[in-house]
Amino acid sequence: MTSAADAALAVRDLTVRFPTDAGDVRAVTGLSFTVRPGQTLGVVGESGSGKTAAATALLGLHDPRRARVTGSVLVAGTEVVGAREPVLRRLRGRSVAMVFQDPTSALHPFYPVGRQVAEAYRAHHAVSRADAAERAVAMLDRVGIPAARSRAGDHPHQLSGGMRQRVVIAMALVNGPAVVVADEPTTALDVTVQADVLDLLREVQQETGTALVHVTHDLGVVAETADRLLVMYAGRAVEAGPARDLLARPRMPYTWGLLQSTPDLGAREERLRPVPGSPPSLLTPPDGCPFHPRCAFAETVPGGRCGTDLPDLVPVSGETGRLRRCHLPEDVPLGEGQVGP
Amino acid sequence: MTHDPAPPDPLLAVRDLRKLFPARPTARRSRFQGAVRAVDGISFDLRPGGTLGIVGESGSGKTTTGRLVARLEQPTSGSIRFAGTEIGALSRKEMRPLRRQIQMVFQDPYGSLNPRQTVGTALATPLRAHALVPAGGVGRRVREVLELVGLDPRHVDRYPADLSGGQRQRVAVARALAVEPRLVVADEPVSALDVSVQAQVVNLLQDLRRELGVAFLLISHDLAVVRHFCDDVAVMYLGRIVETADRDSLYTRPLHPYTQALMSAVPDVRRGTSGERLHRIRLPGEPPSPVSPPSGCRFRTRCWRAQEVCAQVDPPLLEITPTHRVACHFAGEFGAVPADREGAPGQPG
Repeated sequence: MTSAADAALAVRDLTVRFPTDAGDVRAVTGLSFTVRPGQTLGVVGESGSGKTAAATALLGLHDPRRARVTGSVLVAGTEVVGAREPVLRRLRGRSVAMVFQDPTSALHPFYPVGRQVAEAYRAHHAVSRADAAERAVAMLDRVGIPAARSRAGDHPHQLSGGMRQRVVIAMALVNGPAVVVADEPTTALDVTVQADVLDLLREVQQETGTALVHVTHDLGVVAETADRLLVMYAGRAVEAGPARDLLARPRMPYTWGLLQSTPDLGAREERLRPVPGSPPSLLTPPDGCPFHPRCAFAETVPGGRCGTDLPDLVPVSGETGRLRRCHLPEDVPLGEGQVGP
Repeated sequence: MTHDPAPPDPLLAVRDLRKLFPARPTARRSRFQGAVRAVDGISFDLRPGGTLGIVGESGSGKTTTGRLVARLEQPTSGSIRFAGTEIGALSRKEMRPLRRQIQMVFQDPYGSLNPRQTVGTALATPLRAHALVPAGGVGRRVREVLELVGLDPRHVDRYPADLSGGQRQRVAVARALAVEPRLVVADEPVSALDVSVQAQVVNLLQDLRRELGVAFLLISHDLAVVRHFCDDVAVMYLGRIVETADRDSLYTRPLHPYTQALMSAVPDVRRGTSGERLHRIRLPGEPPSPVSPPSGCRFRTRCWRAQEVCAQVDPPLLEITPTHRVACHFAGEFGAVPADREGAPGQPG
């Protein structure tokens, strides 16, 4: 892993808890990772894995009255956790920007899209309205909006979902942030549009050297776009490593199960192999490994450790950049991953 | 139908089905001046116990097709024959005795289950409405169907909020199957579920289909899910079926340019890890408005093969093999013969 110094984003021991009458919802626990400039980290998880709570914390967007955030999030060297609102305001948009799942709610319905991109620019740059508007048109053009100059005058409802998401991406990139956090940026889009938007994200990232954190439930989406993957389960990182390597040879039973249960266009098998049960409550997560109640291998680990001791996230021996959280001896084969060699 | 090896009596036979929604409901004159042509002349068959997947993107008309078949919408024109009976023009009252036989499962079990009703009540209500079991036997039947969908019969006293998304969708499936339908129209039944849970529900639907012999019309945007569940697939674009085939032909040899583009766009773990990125077909522009679809072939404005003829002549579904039909002028390159009139969609009026 990269040292925090040359990373665009360095997260250490990030923990997010939501106090409720019934106790704390432990959305994220002890999450650490770094992303270099120009690199894409795919954060993969199902609902309740904590992936969105983690993404939200990267911009310091949690309401301090509702959430307790601890640990450290360094964006281009500036600490986000515990930062005061004026600091965060300077940071957001300029150093770290977010692309949300639903572009319709990310845009203001009353204002033309060009003006919204221009405002995002003016928030961090002392330029005239006219110059900001020019900059917005150039940005809209860059993200592939045809006839950008005239479309800049359109309101969000006049654009398709894919075009709206392009506008949101233009807003995120207009200040040239060091880090872009995209939370399910293509989930609400049609598949042909999704492919275009993924291509666009990759292109602008290569051009600008932005670090991208791509949060998604869809392994297929990050398989083709991410350099590294981090798999989350019940608020914790359970596996991490180079994307292709991790998907071809998962070393943690949850990742393996997720791959087994993902339907694809190429596999010959007619029947899917689901992970039994459902994800645990974050209010009362199980003791030991959070995945053990659903794990097909837990029984085989001597001493029933999976049910009592939380495994550490440790390097897989002999493999560069691979980490996993599992008691299972490394030499126990999980069976072929769906895409195994 | 001369070449068709399918049994002579399909459970469901749809011919030249159309549904137009007034684009401006307040317009006083002609209702269909400026109508959204949601479904615009589609034909297909579904055999008893069969599974047909209808695949398409937003605005393709796939959801409207499902709602027409379940008669939640009144067709503008065309025919829907279900088990030999024409149901396209039946009134609500005439439809009632048939409702039991066509059931629906929706995407969002939060929305389709009443939050104030227990699971038991949700399942007992249709049993009572259709007087399927004697009053004393309702409780037993409810527990039976819960077991059928893999839920603990003790769940009868739970409320939807007490259940996980996957369990809730199992309840919705149980409710559809409790009345022993012959056809289930499932509109994106697993799209709201997590991948690990989604696979459980897909397998459950497969088992139930085999055990009970129920036919399924599966409406989905997800080509991979459809591939795992359906024997036959129809691809829709802008209110039309552009290609229909048995599963293996469609996925190994998609012939319509739109189907090819759609398949090349699906993100795939296998492709991503092997690094062999399939050549992705980029579609220029955006889907045209269903209020004023392009002349001729509706896909031509985004098609890389489009020629002059495509703007002038609306291509009918041509038979490539007895199980594979494509609506493309250049499907002829694959040795097509024109399908018989009955199977081909009509020209727009």
